[in-house]
This record gives sequence, structure tokens and C-alpha cells, in this order.
Amino acid sequence: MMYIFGLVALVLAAGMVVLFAMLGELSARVGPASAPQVESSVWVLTDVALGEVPSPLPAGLSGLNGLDRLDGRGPSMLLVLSTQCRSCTSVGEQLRDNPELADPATIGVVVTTGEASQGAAFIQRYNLGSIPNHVDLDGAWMRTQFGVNFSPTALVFRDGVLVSALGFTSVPALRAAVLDAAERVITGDEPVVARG
Amino acid sequence: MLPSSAVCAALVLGAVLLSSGIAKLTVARAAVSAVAEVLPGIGAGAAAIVRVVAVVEVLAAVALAVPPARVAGLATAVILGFAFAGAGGLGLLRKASKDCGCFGRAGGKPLGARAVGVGLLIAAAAALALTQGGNGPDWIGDVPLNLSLTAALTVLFTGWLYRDLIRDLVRPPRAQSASAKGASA
Repeated sequence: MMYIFGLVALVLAAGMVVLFAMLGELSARVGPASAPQVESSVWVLTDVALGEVPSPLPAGLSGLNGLDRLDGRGPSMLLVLSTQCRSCTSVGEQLRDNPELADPATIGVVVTTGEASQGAAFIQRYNLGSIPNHVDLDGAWMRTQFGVNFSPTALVFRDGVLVSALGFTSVPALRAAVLDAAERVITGDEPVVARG
Repeated sequence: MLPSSAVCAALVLGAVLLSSGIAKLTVARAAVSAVAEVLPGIGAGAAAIVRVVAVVEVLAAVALAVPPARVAGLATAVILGFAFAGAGGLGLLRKASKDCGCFGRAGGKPLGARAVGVGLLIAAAAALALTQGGNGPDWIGDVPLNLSLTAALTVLFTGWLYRDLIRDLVRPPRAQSASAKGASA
């Protein structure tokens, strides 16, 4: 009888492993359960310091169009990613696996983290070293200058001024909403993405 | 190491290997991808390697839970530990970037230093237990009790392994939604 109890316990434990393995795989394949699809994967964030001019600009972010130059070549985006955020790792994977999405002239990355080494590891892991990047310890720069307490967040700059803050989960959808829309503005008269 | 601690080490190793092996048999995608990355040119052989390792892990776990077969299980665990360390070493050499699928879990870090460390830890723990014969006091030499303890430890280890998933599942819907979108910067 005790043998049967031991075996049943082992089989039940194995069944639990199977269940969690499948749940984990499902979670990895579909992403967060409530993550919006492409059409709704970009949303406007409020309570952000729009109109703010980044100063001083971290050295790692120089060279980004529209951020440090009033050259009218914007907009450009700063993607704020946290090392502790699951959606942020998904964004990192999108940038790593689709290098064409990470145009160093228009996209930079700010990695918020509690430890500089973790931020550097994040940048290395997702091959973000080729685009302007900055490790923001404890998110202090983002929080104090722009009031950003959420990640992933995209800060849209034009002529050196923060004009919009967007939450997002999909980099292609974000680009379509911001950069491609801006191209259409240049060639036509379609408005850029809604501003917060 | 006292004999009883050798038994404890064997039971913990058994739980880890059981969880890892069954998870790999259930979902092998990440592990196969990681093996294919560090063994380029192996093609479909990567899936076979992962399946074989998973079966060996389960067999070793069962052996570790059954005192008469414990020595064989410990010896197998030593070999598996070195195999994991070797895979980590290959990952370091080839600068692996894909998730390792370690313990059968989707995600995780690429094969590298961590896999080397964990592999050597498994090998060392199994070898130390092996030197003690893997036999403890009579009360823990009971087969049903060992099976039950292995099952309990497997549940605990699996719960720890998938703690993020569990946290998302048990969190109230409102908070879960916020977590799904992101985290505090």
C-alpha cells in the first residue's frame, strides 16, 4: 500500500512538471496573456513631462536624430527598457532578431536597472551596443527628468523636445505608429501619432 | 558529509533531474535550439540528444529515489553534471546567444558559465554522495518514503523554477495586467 502511495505521489509530481512545462512554453510562445495585439500594442502614456529637453544628454545617446540636434530630421525614439521587465526582454529579443528595426539614427535605448553590470549585460545580450544606449541606474534620469516610471516606454523626440510618450510591446508596431507615420507626414499631411 | 546528508543530496538531485527530464520530454524546443547552436551541423541530431539526455535524467532520478539503485543513480548524475558543464563550456566557446532551455524551461540564459557552474555543482554533489555510498539511516532507506520525498521535492523545485509564472497566475487580474504590460522603470 505504501509503495502505491509513493508511486502515486511521484506520478502526480511528474504530472505537475508536465503541466508547468506546457504552461511555460505556452507563455513563452504567446507572450503576456493580456498583451494587446499589433493594432493596440502602442498606447499613449500620460503624466510624462512633455516639452522637456533632455539636459544633460548622456554621452551614449549622442548622435540620435532629433534628440540632441535641432535639425528637423526627427522624430527619434528612446526606448526605456528595464532589466526586471518581461515585456522589455521581449522588446530586446525583437531588436536583436530584427536588426533592421534598430536604426541607430532614429532609435536609442535607455536601460533602467539597479546595477550597472546588469544593464551592461542586458545591452550585450540583446546586441544593443550598435545603437545609442545609456544605462540609467535605478531609472533616476528617466524618473526625475521625464517622470517616466513605466517600461517598456518609448519617448518620442522632435527637435530635441519630448513630444510624446508611448507604452508598447511591439517594436514594428511602434515604428509604424511613430517613424513611418512621420514619413507620411513629410510626404503628405497625415498627423503623427497621438500625443500625450 | 554524513550519510544522511548524502541521502538528502541524492533526493534533491533526484528531484532536480526528474523535473528537468520530464520537462524536456514535454517541451524540448528551447533545449534543442540551444544544443543546435553549440553543435553546429548536427541538424536533427540535436532533438535526439535532448531526448536521450531527458530519458537518462528521468531514469537517474528514479534510481536516486530507490535506495537499492541509488549508487547507479549517483554515478549517472555525475556523468550528467559533467555533460551539462561541457555544454556550458561549448556555449562559452561559441558565444551562445539562444536561451538554454535549462531544466526544460522555456527562457533562461544562454549556455555558458552558469551551465558550467550548475553542471559541476551537480557532479560534485553526486560524487560526494557517492563516496558515502548514498545510504542513510534506516528510516530514510524506506522505498515508499524516498519516493514520496522525491515527489515533494520535485513539486517544490518545479514551483521555484516556474515562480514567475505562478506569480502571474495568482496575482489579481488588475495587477496581472499591469505586470504583463511592463514593470516599473
